[in-house]
Amino acid sequence: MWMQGIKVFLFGFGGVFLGIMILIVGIKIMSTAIKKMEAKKDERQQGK
Amino acid sequence: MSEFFSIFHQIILKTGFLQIQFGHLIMWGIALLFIYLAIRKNFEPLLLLPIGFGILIVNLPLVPLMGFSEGPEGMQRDLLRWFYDFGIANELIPCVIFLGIGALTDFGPMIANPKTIILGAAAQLGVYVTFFGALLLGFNMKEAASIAIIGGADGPTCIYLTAKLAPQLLGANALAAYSYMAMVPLIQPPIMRLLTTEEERKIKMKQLRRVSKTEKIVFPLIGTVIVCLIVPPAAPLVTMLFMGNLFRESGVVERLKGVAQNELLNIVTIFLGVSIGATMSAEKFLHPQPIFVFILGLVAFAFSTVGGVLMAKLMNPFLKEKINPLIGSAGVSAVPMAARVSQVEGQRADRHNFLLMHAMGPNVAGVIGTAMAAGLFLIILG
Repeated sequence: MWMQGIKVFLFGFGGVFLGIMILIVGIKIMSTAIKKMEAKKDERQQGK
Repeated sequence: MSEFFSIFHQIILKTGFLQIQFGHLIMWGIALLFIYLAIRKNFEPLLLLPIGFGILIVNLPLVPLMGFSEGPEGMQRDLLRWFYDFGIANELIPCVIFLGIGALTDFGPMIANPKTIILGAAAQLGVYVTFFGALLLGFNMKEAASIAIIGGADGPTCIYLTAKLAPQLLGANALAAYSYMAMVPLIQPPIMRLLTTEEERKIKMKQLRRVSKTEKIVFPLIGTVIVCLIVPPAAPLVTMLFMGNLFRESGVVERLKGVAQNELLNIVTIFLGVSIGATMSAEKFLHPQPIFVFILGLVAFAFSTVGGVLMAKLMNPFLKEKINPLIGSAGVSAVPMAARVSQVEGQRADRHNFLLMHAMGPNVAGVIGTAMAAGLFLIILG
């Protein structure tokens, strides 16, 4: 049972960290893409 | 005359007075304590009041409330048994509560400073430390996981996981989770002060950038996809959370947002509270197990606070702009109380320090982190 407990700890706690890291990367990509899109939109509007 | 006494005798036997046992009296005391804490001390009154009342009524002898009674079509559920079976045992109420929480939550601070999400993950330390603690005390793996999730300080997630893994512990776990959530301002500050220096507590953080409306609308979609792909068993909770948030941020469904964060949330809170209280009959509750659950719950909260604060300290040497470690403790969900505790402690060290918005990042990240931890428990043990 203790070995199983250690597996739960490693995969559980490690899994939460991994999941959170993927979420952070997702947010970073989303923010960068949206900022670029909005910057382009501003440029176009200023050009008009 | 004898017939009169016979009827009188029958009536007396069918009243509850002769059935009162010592265990009932203890449970009435516990019920009154929770009602007192809710009304006089304002400790999570929205939950502790219906929970307290639920404990009281289910411990009145012979009342047909939480079992099955003879009806015209055979045995049928009693009133609270309906609420419990269709609201809690089948995960409906925790998920509807998450819809409301999503509609109430602003993920902006988290999107503005995504590295603080790591604090929400680190604050799950208490969950895993307590998991081992519960195993040491003789609980089986599933029971240990359901007790451990108390450390996430997230009531609906705790109920969701316990209902799936160890329904026999539902009353004790939910009560421990909500009781300690109410006591966050008492539990966390001593630990936060112990683990930080005066200088660290005075660290001022740069004002968060403005998060655009588009980012706030896209985030619940991205969050849903990422979290559900990583931990599919957490989908019922996470999808509701993010759908509520999409209602909020889209700005086009004000009525749905309003219902989710007000009427719906309030209605299910009544059913949740009274059903949880009703699981705590004297026969089920007066054993060593619930006492262990309460001790382990406190350990879980303490270690979760430690995890968040220490992670902030660990991150600081690698960061250009330092994080005030006090916001790490907010990684234990308990939204927004844990963030308020960070703010209060920050202002104790320097009254010009405003940490609330910075602490909201790890605070809402903690909700996602706990849902992930629950999903991973279900993947591994379910």
